Amino acid sequence: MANYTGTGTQDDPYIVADWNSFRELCGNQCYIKWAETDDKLIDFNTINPDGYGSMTMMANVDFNDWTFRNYRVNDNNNPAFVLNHAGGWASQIKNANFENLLLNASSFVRMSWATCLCRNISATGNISRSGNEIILIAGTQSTVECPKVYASSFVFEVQPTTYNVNCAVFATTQDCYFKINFSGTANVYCTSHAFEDANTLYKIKAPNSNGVTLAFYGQGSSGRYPSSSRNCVYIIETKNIIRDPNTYHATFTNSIYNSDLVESCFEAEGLIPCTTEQMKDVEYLQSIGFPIGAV
Amino acid sequence: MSWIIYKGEPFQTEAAEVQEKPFVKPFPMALFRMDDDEIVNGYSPVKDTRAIMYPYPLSYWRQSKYINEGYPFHEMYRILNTAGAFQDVSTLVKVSIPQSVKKIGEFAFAGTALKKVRIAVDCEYFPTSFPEGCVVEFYGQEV
Repeated sequence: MANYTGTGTQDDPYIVADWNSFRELCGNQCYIKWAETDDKLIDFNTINPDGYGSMTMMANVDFNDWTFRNYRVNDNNNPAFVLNHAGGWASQIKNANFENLLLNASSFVRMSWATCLCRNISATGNISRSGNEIILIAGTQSTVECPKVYASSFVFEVQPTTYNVNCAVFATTQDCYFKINFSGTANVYCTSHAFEDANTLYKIKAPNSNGVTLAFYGQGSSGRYPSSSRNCVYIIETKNIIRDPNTYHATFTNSIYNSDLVESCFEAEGLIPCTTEQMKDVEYLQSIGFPIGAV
Repeated sequence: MSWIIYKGEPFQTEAAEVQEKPFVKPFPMALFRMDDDEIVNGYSPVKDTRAIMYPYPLSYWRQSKYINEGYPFHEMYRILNTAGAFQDVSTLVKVSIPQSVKKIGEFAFAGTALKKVRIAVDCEYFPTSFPEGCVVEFYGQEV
């Protein structure tokens, strides 16, 4: 039985302080806020080390800066979703720290899916198995409102898989940080089918990957989705940064990448090649118009 | 690009949600603004380096040799914000660290002007806790 106070409205959200109560409530269209306490930490090694199946959320959730450590999703029959949202409601998920997520699925892996707005989410972890494409931030092309992800970071080790690894698809990302270490041969996509990708840092280490695509102008069921990258920083270690395989290319504005850590890269106006040394040189970056200051 | 408070809510002045009302002069140099339907800021391109001084908006790119391996970073996202308590306080020339302190963070005093510190023998610290060239002495073992 769920342990909570409040009525679940915007003015009087459910206040919870344990995961089981949260799981019980979050499938409804309601407002949930995690409690203000001295110890905002749940270590799942102590309460459920075997992990959970995927859950579907409908709630508007303020995690209130709680930390969730060693949360596992083991699902041999379904996708592994962490913040899976049923959509259809202008909801927000914000202010959560997930440390050492462990995701293992026979199908898709999603960190966030169909959520209208994620803000101030951080996640680190390991994707040990995926039976289909990995997409950390996944929107759906059928929704009117694409997911927006602001001020969030996602740092993952991804074990070799034959399926592509995507940071964000059908989503707007801004002020985010994605770090992926991937030793497999599949492709890695930073952003695709996106409306905007701004001020985001990507550190992708994928030495064996067939290629890393920075911004992909993709085809969806409702037409083409114009990916754009503005003021982004790409630190990519791979063989090739591949050309968008479609006719319509993504647009870049004032984004930089380190050209000396890849063997080849397509050229695009607004995508500025820099050496590793130049990327660490504030005066150089200022001289090419990149907005940066020294600390 | 920067966070502002708009109608009582945090709001960003970039991407698909550019609003006209929050753009009221005078702008900070770092703030992006509309100019002939283009989003620009005072640094594009940089003509006056005095513009690039603290305080930066949290979303403004910055560089420190101690953070993100020296690559650009900003302070909107959570994970890389590993700055030490006194990091880059360039005016800090002297500090008294009592013997009761048993651990000093990875970049706690990096980038300060400290030339010499004294800590407890059993105090844990990192090679990057103090600025380069800073002499670390221990209580009871002063030279």
